[in-house]
Amino acid sequence: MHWSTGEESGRALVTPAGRSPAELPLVYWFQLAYGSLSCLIGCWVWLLRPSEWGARMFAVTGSCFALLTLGPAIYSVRGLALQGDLFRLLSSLNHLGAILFGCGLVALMLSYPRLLLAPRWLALPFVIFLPTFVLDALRLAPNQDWGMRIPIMSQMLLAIALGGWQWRRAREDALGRAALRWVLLSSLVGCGLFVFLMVGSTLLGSLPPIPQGYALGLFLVMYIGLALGVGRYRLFDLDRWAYRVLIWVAGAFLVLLLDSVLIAGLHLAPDSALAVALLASGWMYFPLRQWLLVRLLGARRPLEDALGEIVALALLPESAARAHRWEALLQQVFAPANIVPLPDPGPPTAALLDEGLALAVPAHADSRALRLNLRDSGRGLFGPEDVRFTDNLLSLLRQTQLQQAGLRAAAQGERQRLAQDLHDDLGSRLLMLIHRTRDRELTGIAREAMADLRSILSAIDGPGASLADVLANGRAEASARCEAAGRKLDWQVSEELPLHWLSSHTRSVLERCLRELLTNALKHGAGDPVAIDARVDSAGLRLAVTNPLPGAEAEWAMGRGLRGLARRLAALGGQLNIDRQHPSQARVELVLPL
Amino acid sequence: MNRVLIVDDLQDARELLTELVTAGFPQAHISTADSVAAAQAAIARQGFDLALVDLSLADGFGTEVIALLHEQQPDCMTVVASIHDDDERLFAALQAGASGYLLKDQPAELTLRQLQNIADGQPPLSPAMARRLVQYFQGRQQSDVAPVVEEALTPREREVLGLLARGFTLSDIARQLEISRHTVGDHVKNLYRKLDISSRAQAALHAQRFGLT
Repeated sequence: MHWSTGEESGRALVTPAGRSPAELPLVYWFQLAYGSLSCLIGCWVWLLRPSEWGARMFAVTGSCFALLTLGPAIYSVRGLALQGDLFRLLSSLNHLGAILFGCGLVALMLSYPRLLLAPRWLALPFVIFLPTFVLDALRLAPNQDWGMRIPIMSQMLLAIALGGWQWRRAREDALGRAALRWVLLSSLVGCGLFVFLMVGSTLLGSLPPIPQGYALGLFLVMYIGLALGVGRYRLFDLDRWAYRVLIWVAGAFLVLLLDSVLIAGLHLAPDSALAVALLASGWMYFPLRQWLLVRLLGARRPLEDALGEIVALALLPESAARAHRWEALLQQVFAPANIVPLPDPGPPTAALLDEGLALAVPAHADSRALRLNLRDSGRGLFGPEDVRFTDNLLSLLRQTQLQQAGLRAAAQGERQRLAQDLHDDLGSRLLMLIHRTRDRELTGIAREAMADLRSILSAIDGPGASLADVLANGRAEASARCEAAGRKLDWQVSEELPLHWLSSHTRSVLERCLRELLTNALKHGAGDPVAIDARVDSAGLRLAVTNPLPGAEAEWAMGRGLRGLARRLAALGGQLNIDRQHPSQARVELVLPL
Repeated sequence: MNRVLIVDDLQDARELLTELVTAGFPQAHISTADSVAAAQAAIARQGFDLALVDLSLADGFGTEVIALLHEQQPDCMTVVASIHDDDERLFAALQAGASGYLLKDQPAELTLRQLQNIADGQPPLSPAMARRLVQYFQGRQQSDVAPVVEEALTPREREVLGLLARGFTLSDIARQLEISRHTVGDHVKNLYRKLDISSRAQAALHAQRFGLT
C-alpha cells in the first residue's frame, strides 16, 4: 500500500484480515436497509399496479436507489483502504444508480398522476443522461461537477418543473391535487433535503458534516411518504388493503433476516437456525403484524356491533325515530364529516361517489337516500369494503322491517276483524234499540252510543285527522243535533286554528267529548243559544260549551258522562273545567294538550 | 217511488227500512235482497225507482249493486243506507253512482226528510265527504287527463264545497253566501252530478287505454 501525508510518503505491506458481519459498523447495515426498503416499496406498488406507467417508474426509482446505496455501503465502511479497481467499480455502480434514480424520478413526474406525454417519451431522460454516466465512468468528463453533480442537479430541476406541470394539469381536480401535493412533497422533500445537507456540509461547510451513509436515509422520506399516501390518498389507486401485502412480504423478509443473523452472528447450524428463526419471527412477527394492521387499517367498528343496533333500530315504533337512529348508526360506523340527503330516487345500492370522497347510501322505508361525506372526518376514503358493508346493513334492515311490517299487518288485520265484529253485532243491536224503543231518552242514549261506536271504530282502524277537520265534522254534527232539538247553535271557532294532526285516539276522545258536552247542554240547558267556542293557546286546545241555565237548576254536579270524559282527557294530559260563576249559565271547558 | 229495492244483509235492518219506506211512501211495492247476488237477480227481474243499499254485504260490497243499478237502471235513485260514516267507502259508492247516503240510526223523520231531499235533488254532504270531493276535483285538475268541460267546478260550487268541508250546514251556507237554501241544494246536486260524470269519463278513459272500447 502506498501512503502519503503530504510531507512524508512510503510503502507498507498490509494483510487484509477478514471481518465477521458483527464487526461491520452500523452505517453499513443502514445503507443496505435503505436500499432494501426503497426496493421493497417500489416493487410493492409495481406488483399491485403492474400496467401503470407511474407505478413502473416508481419501481425504477426504488430499485435504482437500492443500486445507489450498494456501493457506498461497502466503500464507506472500509477499514483503511480498498483495492483501486473495486473502489472504481463500486463508485461507478453508485453513479449509475444515482443517474438512473434521477432518470426514474423525471420519468415518474412525467407519468404520475397523469401521463403528460406518450409512454415512449419516458425513455427520454434515460437517453439524455446515460451518456453523461458513460463519459463519467470512462473519466472523459472534465471533473466531478460535469460528470455527476450537474447532471443530477438538472434532473432534480427537471423533476420539479414537471411536478409543476402535473400541478397545473390537476387544477380542476381537488382530490387529484391533494394526492399530488403529497407525492411532490414526499419525493422533493426527500431528495431536496439530501442535496441541501450534502451541499451544505461539504461545499459551504456551514453545517456539521453528516456521513453520506446516514444522509442517504433522507431518501426514505420519499418511499415511506408514498407508502403512507397509499392509505390516505389512494395513490396509484391502491387502498389500505395494499398494506396487507406489504406486511406479508415484510414478514417473509423478517424470517430471512433473522435466519441469516442467527447463522452468521450466532454461528448456529443452518437447521437449528431456521427453527429458531421461525420461532422468533412467530413471536415477533405476528404481534408486530397485528399491531401494524390495527395501526394502518384503523380499529374499525366490527359488523357484529352494528348488527344488534340495526335490529334495535328496526324495532323502534316511529318512522322519524328510525330515520334518526339510522343516521346515527352510519355516523358511528363511518364517522363521516357530515351526512346530507341525496335527491330522489337515489341509488339502488350503495355506491362510491367522487372516487371515495363520499358514499351514497340508498333510501329505505324510513329514510331518504343519503350522502356521507369524507370518511373518518377526512382521514380516509370510502372503499369497496364500505359499499359491501352498507349493502349488508341495508338488507338486514329491510328484512327486519319486512318482518315487522308482517306483524303490523297481522295486528291491523286483527283490529279490522274486531272492528267488523263490533260494527255487525253491536251496531245492529244498537240500531234495533234506536228504532224499537218508544222511550225517547233511551233512543237518545242509544243513538249517542252508536255515534261513539263510530268514533271508536275509526280510532281502531282509521287514520288520525287534522284538528280543523275534526272541528268541522263536530260543527256539522252539532248543527244537525241542535236543529233536531229545535235549539240555536252559536259556533264560535276561530277559522285560524294552527295546523295540528291528531292521532286516531285523540281524535276519537275529542269527538266523544264534544258530543257529550252538547248532550249535556241540550238536556240540562234551556234557552238559546248553545254556544261553542274554541281556541288554541300554550296549554293546547280549549273548547267550551256554554248554555243558559233555567234559574232553578243552579246546582248541578259532574255526572257519570262528564266524569268519564275527565278521565279520558286526563289520560291525554288534559282536563275538564266546570265554570259555575255565572248563575244563569253553565260553561264546561275542555283542555286538550296538542 | 212505486218500486223500491232494499239491500241489507241483516234481517232486522231490512224490516226497519221496510217500515220506514212504507211510512214515507205508503203505496210503494218493496222488494228486499240480503246479498249482492240476490240484488243482481232482483235488478234483472224488474225496474226500480228507489234503492236503499247497505255497503257491507255478506258476499261483497254494496258498491257493486250501485254500479249495476247505475248502468242498467239510470233513472233509479240509489241511496246508501249504512251505519258507517267511513268516507272511504262512501266516496267509492258516490263515484259508483249513488245519489246520496243516510245513516240508519238517524230518527225516522230525519231519514224520511233526507230521502225526500235526495228525491228533490238535495242530497246531504258531510264535511269529510266534501273534503274528499275538494281533493278529488283538485287532483283531476292537476292530472294529465284533459278535464271534461262539464266536470270542472264553477267558482260558486267550489265556494259551497269549501264551506261544507268546514262543517257549515246548508242553511249556514245560504246565509253566508246570501242565496236561498234551495240554490245551495242545487249546487250540492251539481257536485254529485259532476263527480259522477267525471268518474264515468275516467272509466271511459281507462277503458280506452286498455283497449276495451
